[in-house]
Amino acid sequence: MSTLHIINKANASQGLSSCLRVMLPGDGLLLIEDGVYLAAQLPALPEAVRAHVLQEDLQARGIALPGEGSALFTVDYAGFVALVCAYARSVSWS
Amino acid sequence: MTPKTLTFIARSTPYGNGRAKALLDMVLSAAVFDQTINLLFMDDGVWQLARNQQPATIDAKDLSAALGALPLYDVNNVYVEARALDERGLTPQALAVDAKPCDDTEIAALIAGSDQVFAL
Amino acid sequence: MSDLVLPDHRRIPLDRDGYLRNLDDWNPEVAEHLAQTVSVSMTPAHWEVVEVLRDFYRESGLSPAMRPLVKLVTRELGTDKGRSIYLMKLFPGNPALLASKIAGLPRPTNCF
Repeated sequence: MSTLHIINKANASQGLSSCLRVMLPGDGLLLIEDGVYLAAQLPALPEAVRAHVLQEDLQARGIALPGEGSALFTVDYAGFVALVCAYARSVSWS
Repeated sequence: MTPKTLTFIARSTPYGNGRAKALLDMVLSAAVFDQTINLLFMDDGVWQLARNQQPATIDAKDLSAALGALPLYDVNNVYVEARALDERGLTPQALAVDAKPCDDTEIAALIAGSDQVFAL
Repeated sequence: MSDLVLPDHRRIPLDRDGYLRNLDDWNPEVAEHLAQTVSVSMTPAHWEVVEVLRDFYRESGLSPAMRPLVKLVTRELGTDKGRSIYLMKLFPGNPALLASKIAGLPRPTNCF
C-alpha cells in the first residue's frame, strides 16, 4: 500500500529532496501551506508518482494555479481529505 | 489491541529547536504502549548521533545520552541514513549509539512497512 | 502541591504533582521526607532502587516509566529484583511514579 508524502515548507533542499529519494511507485506527493511555493520549481518526479497541490494555499499566497499539461493536480480541502484517506499512510516532511 | 508498526524519522539537529526532543518523547511514549518501533535518523537528524555531545555548556540535556537508553525501552530498530552521514563527514562507527546504516531503497521499504510514520 | 517542609523548617519547593522543582534540592534527608508524602518508609531495599534511578537519570536524563524501570532494575540489581511484583511491594500503587519522586527525578512523562 502506498504513501502520501506531504510537504508544507518552502525549503526544497530538505524535505522535498529527501522525500523524492525514498518514494515508491504509486506514492503521492502533496504540497500544502508554504510547500505550495515549490509548485513552480518542482523537480522531475519519480516514476508513477502523482503530485498534488492545495488550491486554497496557492490562492492565499497569490500563486497561479498549475496550467493545462502541468504535472501537478490541484485539490481543494475536500480533495485533501480524500487523498489522505486514499493512501495507506501519510508522512509530513515538515 | 494489535501492535502497530510506527516509524519515527528524526530529521532535525539536536539543540537548534525542540523538534529532536519532541520526537524522542514520542518514541519513548509509543514504546510504553508495546508498539513495534523503528527509529530512523535522516538528513540533519544524524547530528543527534554525534559523539561527545556536551550540551551542559548550553544548559541543555544530552539527547544522545537519552538515545543510549533506547534498548531499555525495547526500541532496538535504530537506523541511520548512510548518505546523510556521508554528506556530513560522519561514519557509522563514530556514532554515539548503534544504528544500522541504510540506503534510499531500505528507507522506502521501512516507510512502506509502517502503519504510521512521524517525521520531525 | 505546596512546599515540602523539613523538621528544621526549611522549605523545599515541589511541583503540583509533588516532585522536586529543583532537582539539586535532593539529598537523602529530603528523600526520606518525599517518601513520607507517599507513605513509603525507606529501607535498604528502597535505597538501592533509588540509587539505580539516580544513576540512570545522571546518565540518560530520563525518568523511566514502569517497563523500562523493571528492565533497568533487572540490569543493575538482578532478575530477583527486576520484577513488577517486587517493585510494587516497595512502592505500592505505581512504582515508576513513586520511586522517581523519592529519587528526586522529574515525573516520568509517559506514565499514567
